[in-house]
Amino acid sequence: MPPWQIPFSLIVGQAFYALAFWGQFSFAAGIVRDEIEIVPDYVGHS
Amino acid sequence: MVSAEMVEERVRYSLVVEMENAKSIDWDEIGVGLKALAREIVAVTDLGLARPKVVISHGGHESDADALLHKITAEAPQLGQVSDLVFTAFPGGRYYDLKNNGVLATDGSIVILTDSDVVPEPGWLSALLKPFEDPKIICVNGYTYLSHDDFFSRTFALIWFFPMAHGDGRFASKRAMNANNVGFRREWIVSHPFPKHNGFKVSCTLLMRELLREGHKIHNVNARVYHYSPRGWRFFYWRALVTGRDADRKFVALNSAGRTQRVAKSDGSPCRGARHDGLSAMPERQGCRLGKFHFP
Repeated sequence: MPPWQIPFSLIVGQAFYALAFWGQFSFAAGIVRDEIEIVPDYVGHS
Repeated sequence: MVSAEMVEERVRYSLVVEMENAKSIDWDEIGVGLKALAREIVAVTDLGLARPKVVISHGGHESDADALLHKITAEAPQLGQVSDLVFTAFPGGRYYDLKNNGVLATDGSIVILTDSDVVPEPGWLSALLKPFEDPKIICVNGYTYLSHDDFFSRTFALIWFFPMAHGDGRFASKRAMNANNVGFRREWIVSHPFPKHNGFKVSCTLLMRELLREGHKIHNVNARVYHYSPRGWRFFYWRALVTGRDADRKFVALNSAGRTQRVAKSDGSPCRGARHDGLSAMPERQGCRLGKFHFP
């Protein structure tokens, strides 16, 4: 990875895990219900 | 390399290729993987192993089989020449449903599970089969990494739960079972299908725990495949949230935790995984440890 991309990559990586944290917290706290996870049609490979 | 004993016994193996999203997959990409799969089958057949059955397990209807065969024949004509291609349908089936359904259609004593969006490197199949010479071995786990060709895919490769292609030995040594690159004794996997679960990638963790609880070990080998990188911000958003929800589901399944414990578990540094895998990963992910989300 070119060095100039590293800060941007870190931001994207942290955004991913911030969202993951929200996903986990909201689920654990009961804000989001437990439903069957369905892969959206726009996902070609996951 | 496959041994003389396996050849003498004419060990029969089968492959299950999961094709969850046949509507939205890129057939050019799939073709690359299927051609590589055919090449791998030829390599072990040349060593004397029996012609395998390849089960294409998809989530469409039985009637889709002809169209799929047509596309597969167009993209990778070799595959039908070197194996017995069969199709199994599980309409609306999710990832692990397709794995389980595909396994039931196999006939070999060893079953190799792979996905349509991975591409095996040379020597992959032989490396996965060889450990089964030892009758005690139940599960052989390959090495899957993400391919990358731009900023976004490089970032995914750094933060993902797969080890990177190179320079990631420590993380790779602790990798969990890859449902897209793993072999089982048929007898075991038929009697221990992937557990049903609402989560996206939870069943694999549950099966892994079942395997370990029974006293078996996961035998890691350097049977390498690359997985096409995920693309797009919509996927990024969806996958991140699912990763979080699955982390909680795994915590519940493995710890029978109450809600307070679950909320407490989700606390801490939300970016812990990214920080460890991101900062320390560049350039070689040195010193990383498994982030809390790093269970496939």
